Amino acid sequence: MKIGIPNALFIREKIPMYVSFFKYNGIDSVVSTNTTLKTIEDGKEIATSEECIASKIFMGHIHELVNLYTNEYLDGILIPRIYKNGKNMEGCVKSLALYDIARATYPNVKFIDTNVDYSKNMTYFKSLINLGVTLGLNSKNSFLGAFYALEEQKKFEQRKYHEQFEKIDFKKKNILVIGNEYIVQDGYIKKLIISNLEDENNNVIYACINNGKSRYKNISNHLYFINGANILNGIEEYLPLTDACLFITGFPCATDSLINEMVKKRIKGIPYIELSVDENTSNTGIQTRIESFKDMIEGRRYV
Amino acid sequence: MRIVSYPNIGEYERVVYNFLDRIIDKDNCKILRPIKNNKKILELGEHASPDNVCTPFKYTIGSMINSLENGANVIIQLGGGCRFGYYAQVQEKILKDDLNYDFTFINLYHGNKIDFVGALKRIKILNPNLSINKVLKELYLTLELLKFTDYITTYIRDNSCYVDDINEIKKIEKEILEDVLNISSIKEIKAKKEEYKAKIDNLLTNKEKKLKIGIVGELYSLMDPFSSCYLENDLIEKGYKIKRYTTASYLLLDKHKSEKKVLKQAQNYLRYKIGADGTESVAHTLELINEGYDGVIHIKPFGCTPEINAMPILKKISEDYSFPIMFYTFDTLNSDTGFQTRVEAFIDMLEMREKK
Repeated sequence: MKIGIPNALFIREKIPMYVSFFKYNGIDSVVSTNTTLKTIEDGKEIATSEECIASKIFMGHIHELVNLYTNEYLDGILIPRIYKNGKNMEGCVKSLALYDIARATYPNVKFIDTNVDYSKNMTYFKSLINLGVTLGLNSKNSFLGAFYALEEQKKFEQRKYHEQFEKIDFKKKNILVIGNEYIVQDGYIKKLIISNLEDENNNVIYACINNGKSRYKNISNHLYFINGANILNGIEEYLPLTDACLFITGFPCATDSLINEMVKKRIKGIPYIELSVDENTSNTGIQTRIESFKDMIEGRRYV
Repeated sequence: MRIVSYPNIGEYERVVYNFLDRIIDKDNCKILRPIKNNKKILELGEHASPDNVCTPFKYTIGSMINSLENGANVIIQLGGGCRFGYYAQVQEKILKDDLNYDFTFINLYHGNKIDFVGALKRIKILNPNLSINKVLKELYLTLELLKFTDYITTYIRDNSCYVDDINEIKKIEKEILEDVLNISSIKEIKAKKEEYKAKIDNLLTNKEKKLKIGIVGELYSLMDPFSSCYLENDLIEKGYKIKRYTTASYLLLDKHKSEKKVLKQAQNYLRYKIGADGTESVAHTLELINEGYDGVIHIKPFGCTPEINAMPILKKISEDYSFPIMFYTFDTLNSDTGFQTRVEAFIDMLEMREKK
């Protein structure tokens, strides 16, 4: 059996978990390739025109996997739904509907779903076991597989965090890149923005990769979008170490539209810009803005 | 002297006024009723808001600024699902830090539910002698009043097309809205309900078959006439039968009860809830199709994620049932004419389908 996993949106962060769960149970998994311009073009055509860039990218990845499915290379495509994670913490509204949207767009394709909802006691662990049941796996194996998968996911996150922490270098300027994981780490957007930003003088750190401690209370009393809380936790953790901040938001991101207002008020005294990315963003325009941003950071040395 | 104000939606500010009027300490506190949404409010809100935020944020903050300019020094704001949960805290920051207004902000919301005890504590600045019993009693009356308002305005909306002279029913609607400000007991509500229903029933003389159009979508643009370019009013004046499900009493009192029912209605298309009112949009569209409606208009403000989630599914429904659905997005740059042209074209199409 072969199952496709889209490498986009909220699923991106959890790919190691699903891949190792499938591996433990002897199922092959195919993760869609990194985002390219073609992915975005495909997604643009399929998705509703008003959807955010991240969902368009997601639809592009689904399109890629559906092509494999119609060529009988895949037996199904996994789209987990992450609704509630922890007490009062909700996933972005977009993530609630991904499975249903994919099903409505491609009625003849087999999509596999699994629901994560902590308010109904459906933790990641239980949702993995449920996934095993829907795939008709041996219950003992899916139980052990879930353990293994969560362990692998934890290891992966810790490795990522340590790698980033070791990268911080006080001889260089540390630039904190703020934004949702699926935007700032996405193959295409990374190439478009981060590659222009990172050089021998500037070091990039991501706010979304943090140690997970809840520190957002300094900025806001209550938040209930998981991704917003994650970004704010990262900002609180890294802000003392950074020389400049860059907020990347996908147009028109619902959660970011209010989070960036909070961030703007929190960050004072260091250079800060907001870049909005959509499917028509031009390479040159971004380059100009990044260059002038870097000049500004550099120029502050002489003030 | 405290002057208390609150943002407006549709005609519901009258119900809030009625409630506040009964609980405040009248010697030290006054109520400033918010004006209806208009271009000026939208402009004020647009300048103060972040770029990509949804339009209701702009209307509500615009309304707050307008009240503050007119002397208000206490503002009350609610919260809800989706981005509405962040409105209060961001609006407070913008008004206090960026625009330097000095006032008390009462946020009745905490986490993602109404924080009743905290809200009571905060609302006490309007009347220090307020007791829990009094608030509960008045709240009960207010909810009954809300139900009454929604019942009667929905009745008018559903039946306006069967009236010969539309102005008469509008007169009655005006009377009702004036009454809402002054009603002070449950008995009165019951009496008024009977009275107005009888009055309206007398007017329903036209029994012609009308074109039936349903309106679904996001709650603010549905309930606030200005933010949807007076779509409902337009359709009523042209003599079409229209139906919308979303009302304040549905959202506050019935929504959580009917969650399972709604999901069951939409089970062929939805496996999960898709956020805020998106699930309802899908379920109600299916219901309208079953009831033999001729078409559905789906409206939302720009960037409303739950409704964008519903759109691909509604498109699928439209294909499966070959049922006409029109999508329209409202933003701060609305053109009435452009919108009317689209609505007229849509209705022409429905009429042509009918003749076939």
